[in-house]
Amino acid sequence: MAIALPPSGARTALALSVLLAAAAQLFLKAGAETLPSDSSWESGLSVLTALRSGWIWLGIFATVASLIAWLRALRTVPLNVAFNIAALSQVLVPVASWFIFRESIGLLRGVGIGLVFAGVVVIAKPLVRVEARL
Amino acid sequence: MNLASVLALLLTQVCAVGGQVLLKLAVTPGPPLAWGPPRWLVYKAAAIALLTVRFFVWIGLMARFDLSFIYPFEALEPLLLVLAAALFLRERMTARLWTGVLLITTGVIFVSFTDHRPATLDPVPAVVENE
Repeated sequence: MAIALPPSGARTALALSVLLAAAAQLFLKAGAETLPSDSSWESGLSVLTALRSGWIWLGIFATVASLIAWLRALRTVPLNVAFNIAALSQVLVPVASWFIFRESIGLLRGVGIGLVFAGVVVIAKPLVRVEARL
Repeated sequence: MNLASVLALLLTQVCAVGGQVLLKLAVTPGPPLAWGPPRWLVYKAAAIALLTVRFFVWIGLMARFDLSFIYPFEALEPLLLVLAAALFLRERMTARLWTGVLLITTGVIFVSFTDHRPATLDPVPAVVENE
């Protein structure tokens, strides 16, 4: 039942990676807002014009930084544990989207986001408990 | 949501899971490959290729949908990922992990039942939406 505990450096790297990944999504959405929303998939041009946006480049930078932290964490944390803790960005991103982009979160969507959060807490609890004791 | 968008969402998930398994292999010591460049380089390059494809398809999706609507679909990946991790990495599943994965997946199913509303950049007056 017990999950082998990674060293605290790996835990810090994991936390950093999750925060940077969430920030990257928000930067990319800010950049994607500048694209026409009715363009067809056949013309990949609209996706390439995204590279003209400074927000998109910020998103790319945060993604790369997140990846570096992620690789550090993966050295000791099992993939199935690390990946599910990273699901925390499924909570951070919609909540931040509500704040920043005024996207609506209805009751059903809110409950769903809450369940995802509960799942992350269940998986992350053994890692956090040891951190608090130190 | 049309077929192309569903396929694009599916593609992002396959690329994400494949990329993660390859990244884990890249930072895990193991026997060298039979030929070619070092093992870690091959795995890391393949992982980055998959994650790059996912990245651009994802930007395309974000141009069409609310981020709070499409992003939680990514949480379906835990199911795919724990299967891939068990199959390719021989990682063990625990009762705690299964519980967490099921909670996350249930949450995603709830989110997927919500209506997709037009992107907030549409110049629709808020008064009309409230009626």
